[in-house]
Amino acid sequence: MPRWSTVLRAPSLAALFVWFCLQPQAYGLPSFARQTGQKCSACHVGGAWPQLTPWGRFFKLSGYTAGKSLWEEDKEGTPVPLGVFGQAGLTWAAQPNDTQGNSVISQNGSPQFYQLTGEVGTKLTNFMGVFYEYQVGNTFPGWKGTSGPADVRAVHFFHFGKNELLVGVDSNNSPTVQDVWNTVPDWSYPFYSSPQSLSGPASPIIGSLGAQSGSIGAYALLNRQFYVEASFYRAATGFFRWMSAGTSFQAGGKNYLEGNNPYWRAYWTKEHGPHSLMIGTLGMQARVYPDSSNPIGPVDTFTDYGFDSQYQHLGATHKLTLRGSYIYERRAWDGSFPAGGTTTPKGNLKSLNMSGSYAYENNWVFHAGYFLTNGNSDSALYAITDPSGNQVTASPKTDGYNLEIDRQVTQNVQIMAQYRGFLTYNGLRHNIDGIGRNASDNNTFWLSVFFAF
Amino acid sequence: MTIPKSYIYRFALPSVLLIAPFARAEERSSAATIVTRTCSGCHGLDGKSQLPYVPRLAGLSAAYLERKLADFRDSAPPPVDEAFSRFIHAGSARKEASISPAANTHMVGFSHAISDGDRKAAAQWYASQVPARGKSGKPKLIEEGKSLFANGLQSQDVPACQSCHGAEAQGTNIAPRLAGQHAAYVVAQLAHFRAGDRQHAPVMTAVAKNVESDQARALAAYLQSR
Repeated sequence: MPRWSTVLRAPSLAALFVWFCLQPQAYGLPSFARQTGQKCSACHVGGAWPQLTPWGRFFKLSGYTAGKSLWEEDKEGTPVPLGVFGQAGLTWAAQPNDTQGNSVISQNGSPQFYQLTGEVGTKLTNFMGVFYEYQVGNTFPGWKGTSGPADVRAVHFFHFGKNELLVGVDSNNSPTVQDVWNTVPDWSYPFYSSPQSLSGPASPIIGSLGAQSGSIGAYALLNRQFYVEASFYRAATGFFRWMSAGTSFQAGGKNYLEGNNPYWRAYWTKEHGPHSLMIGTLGMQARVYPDSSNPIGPVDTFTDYGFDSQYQHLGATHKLTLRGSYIYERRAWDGSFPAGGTTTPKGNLKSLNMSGSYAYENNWVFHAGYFLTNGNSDSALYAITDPSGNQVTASPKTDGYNLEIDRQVTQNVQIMAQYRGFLTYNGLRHNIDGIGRNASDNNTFWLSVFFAF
Repeated sequence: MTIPKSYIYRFALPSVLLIAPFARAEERSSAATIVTRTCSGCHGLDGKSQLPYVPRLAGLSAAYLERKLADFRDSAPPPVDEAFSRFIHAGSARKEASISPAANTHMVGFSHAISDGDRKAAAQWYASQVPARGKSGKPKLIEEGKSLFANGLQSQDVPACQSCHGAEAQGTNIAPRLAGQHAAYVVAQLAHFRAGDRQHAPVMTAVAKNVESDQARALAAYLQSR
């Protein structure tokens, strides 16, 4: 017999969801909305953050300098450059426990508060802007406060004849966080995932340095079509420590960079009527100490080569975006292999991400995406053993899909329903843990509410 | 690749010092600054927008543009904290913007976010741009639109458009230039006039009520071709 709380909870949540969805016309960062006087839908497709519109991309590239600066005061007052996010919801797994009753996905079907984030975003002058988030997140179990995205820019426009050259200097705390396309690791689909949902066992280094690195770089955009950028990342210590607030390298398990590590980005984009197309490349070389608590000795070297493309049709009512990215990573385990951290001296990792989004007005957004990560097998990095100690798999291959519906209730409230399905997990479709669990048992359905004020 | 560890520190300061003089120079150029950063993302630097529902502003009269911006400025801005405002203003007689929804979404907010001087500078910038060249379309539709524009439709009480907008649709100080305008934008605006969304323009609100949808498309095709 079900517990009374469950009986009451299900219809109540369903009623709440329906009530939210039936609210009339719904319309990023609250601080930038205050600065520019814009609704979220000016910068974000369908009003659903973080997917950017052409104007949103330009606003970011131009250093967040549209609208009123923090220091400009007129009869309407000074915009408050602060905002707060919160996210809560429930996650249901196809099989939260393994066949022996051990929990694989915790807090199944139980209401959870996921994160509370404070943000600062403002134009500082006509040529400079800043964006910074600090997030207190549910880590299942426990809570932890860390820096979110940090991005500081200074820009200048040169106009000569009919040409325009935008030149910028940028400092940030995560490779690709400075990018304006939703194809790069920091901003790619799925834009949000339940902290309780599983993902693959490996990801490229270019998307794994958030709040652990700090950069200085420069970029140029010619005629709003050709973009090039070069940056250098180093461990977020000393001068960059504020960008990694809450991150402890001493606790281990982090990516501690040795010296300065190059990052590059180039793309071509063209707008024609409501259509826009982008074709680009990105990459970086990162030298990482095997043990972040003891950053000395030989390092592992990761070299990423990425290619991405996006097509967007931005009609007044119907908005379609198609995205694709592929990242190939070469791995040289010069630090980890001699210490026994890997069983192969060299390796690779390949990551494919394809997704599409359709937004109807500024009310509903539908997403679908496929993801695939694959690479060489390694018994030290990816080994799964059964209770008898026999190795079941050592492959990182994981692929699956996400299906999602977002509803903008108001500018400040977004409801998300996301289904994540796995086709392969750790290289296997069936018996992924040696005791009868299938990849599809990791599938999750996530219902969440996102607040932004 | 190995570079000296002090590279970033050496690079950061010179970068700021290098960019600062340019930035100071740009602060003095109000029109370029405001148009580049705030307007050009949608309307284009040259006023020839790509998005078919965003109006082309090149060559519109400065007086008209300034008046439109003043209308936007006089409208209540969309609340950023919409969820709060629903409760705070529930049942109150809050002043709603009597302009089209698209303009309410974007232009009202910007008009409040920039200064009087910036609004004037932006209007003059776009007024001084070379107007967009016409795009070809269906000849039959264009012919029908041309006749409507030049002669109006007495049977439907629609006056000749050229009487206010000029014989070449070049615009006047009281009516905007329409030559070369996006057809989709013209059709959408006529629909907004008919629906009473643009009450700042009582003349067009009255005229548009008598224009049928297919006639609006013909007019739009003709104007886009100019």
